[in-house]
Amino acid sequence: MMTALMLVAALAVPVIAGMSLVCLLCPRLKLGITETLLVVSLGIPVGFGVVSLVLFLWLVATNGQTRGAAILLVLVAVLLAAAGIARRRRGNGMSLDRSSNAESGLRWLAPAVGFGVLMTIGVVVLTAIAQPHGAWDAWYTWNRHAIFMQRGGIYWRDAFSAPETGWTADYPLLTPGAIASAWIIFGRESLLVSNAIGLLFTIALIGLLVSTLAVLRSRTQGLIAGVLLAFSPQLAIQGAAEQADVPLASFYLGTMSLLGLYDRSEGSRQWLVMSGVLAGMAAWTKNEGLLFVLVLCVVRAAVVTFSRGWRDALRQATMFGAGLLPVLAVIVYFKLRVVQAANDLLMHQSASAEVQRLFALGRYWYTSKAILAGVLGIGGWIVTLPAMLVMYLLLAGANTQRRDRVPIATGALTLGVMMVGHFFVYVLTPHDLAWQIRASLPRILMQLWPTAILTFLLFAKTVEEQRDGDAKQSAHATTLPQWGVNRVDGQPAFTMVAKAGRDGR
Amino acid sequence: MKNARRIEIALATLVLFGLLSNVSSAHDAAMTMRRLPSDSDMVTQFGVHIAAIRRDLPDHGMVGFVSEPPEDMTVNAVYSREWVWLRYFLAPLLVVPYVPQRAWNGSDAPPPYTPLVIGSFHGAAPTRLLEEHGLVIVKDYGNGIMLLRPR
Repeated sequence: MMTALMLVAALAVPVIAGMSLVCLLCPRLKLGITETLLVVSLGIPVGFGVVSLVLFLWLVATNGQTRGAAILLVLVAVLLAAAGIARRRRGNGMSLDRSSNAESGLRWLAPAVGFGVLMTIGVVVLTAIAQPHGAWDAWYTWNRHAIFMQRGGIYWRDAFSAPETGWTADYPLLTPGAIASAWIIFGRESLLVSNAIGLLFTIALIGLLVSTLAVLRSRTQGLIAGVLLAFSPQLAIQGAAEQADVPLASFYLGTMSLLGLYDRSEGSRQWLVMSGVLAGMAAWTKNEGLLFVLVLCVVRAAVVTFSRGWRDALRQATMFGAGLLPVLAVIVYFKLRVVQAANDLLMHQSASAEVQRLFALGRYWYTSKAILAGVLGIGGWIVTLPAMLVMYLLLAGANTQRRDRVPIATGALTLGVMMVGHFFVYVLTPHDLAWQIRASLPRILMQLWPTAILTFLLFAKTVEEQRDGDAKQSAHATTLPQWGVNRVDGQPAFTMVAKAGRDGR
Repeated sequence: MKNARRIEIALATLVLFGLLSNVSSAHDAAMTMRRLPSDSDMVTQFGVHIAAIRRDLPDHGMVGFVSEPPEDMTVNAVYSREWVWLRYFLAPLLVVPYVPQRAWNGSDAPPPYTPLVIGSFHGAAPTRLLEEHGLVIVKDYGNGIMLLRPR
């Protein structure tokens, strides 16, 4: 009983801290079901990011001592919660501008998503029972670095020292810091904690995607996103693996979601600040996150400059940077002052070998084939999901609303350039190419998959819009015969009415 | 047929395939769990396998690791797996692949000095390998795990 309570406390502290920070930095919201889901789903990853940053700074300040760290972490959560509550009491929250509140009539979708979430939880739990220590990277990097942070004492920096010449010694500390923080509050190391964190990130990812699309497009569109993600077996497998890919996917998606919310609610620049924080946390999760920050900044600046002018781009960059830079400063400190081990992708590189790989066309062909196969099998469905999504788009049609162009362009270009970036990382890798692709490509695609779903469903018309279109078409068709009699072929009006009635059903 | 109706059918098909995908994944997870020998996974079993040597090692610092060649993570799955699990279970002690000091050619950084070396072997004691690496046995735990030191 005591163990269960301590486990709940160990997980509740980061979640409360995260939800409170979201309430503090984002515009004050009226908390309906969708908004609450959004705040909780953002709060979970943000909270684990906050405690990992706090623990890292504490270890730097105390030279690895964890005594007192639990009190500090709880204190941070309490202070943030108090500030968040005080802010909510100051006035009424705003309602999010929903694209559509119309009923789609697809009442079975919500239970289907609920079932998908339950199945995902089931698979995560079963996999965690079968592999309580997680998968390769969990042993190699994340849980191991968490051990150094939790009980390394003055030797905690050894994990990043020069003899650590393997892989990923320079990987940032969000995941290990989150696990170590929870262990410290829990009072001991426990596999239950790291498994539970994996599960929380997985559920939060689905919640974030569903709630964002429910706001930006429609409730049904959010639920369709839930189907696509919750029924992806790869998500549950990665969620149970205790690796950093699902957390990274959360931060990618969170960043894009908040940029989308900013685009929708012009003037609420707090979305941009929070978006910057999330982008920073992506970079604090894995080195791929640094690529994401770089690509996103360039893409967003280009898209906003093109659509709204450079002044707006500069204003947005300032607010985004206000959230991003504090986290980035910690990462720079970590990379320059704590890490002494070389990055595996750089340490084995020589200019001549790089040039040789750059001009080896076979590597391009092999990488292209592997990426194409990976994309076609994305999510781990038993069918080729991208083909089904293309068919769905042909049926549903494209969303042509002007206000959605910026988030769609930002999402699509960011994903595209990220894939190009990963492509060249593979082409230039000093490791065995086949091995590297096999070891990392499914996880890289999983990182991008939720953001790809978000962008796709922003681009596709909603069921509600289709119903509106059908209704307009029917109304138009019933008026067509009289117009047709006079103008087209002079057939009797009743023939045309009957035809229109059949086609319009 | 109205377009919205077609989309409904498409969505129902999507959900059906999603369900089948997830059921298949749940079945795989359940099968993996059922196949586990003696209620524990390979990583946990390895933790038990090295419990004895763990007690004889320092809490921190650095030790070497040696096993049957080839000592290459991308080629030798057993070597890489055991090295990674040792690193994991013995943290915050560092475990690095053992390279004899005399093997240093002077061009790169010298190999780190490790006063103790963990040997993990799967057959008879590899006397030739130990000879080549200049290692002597400090303690043999009888299960393929040995505590070694440079001569």
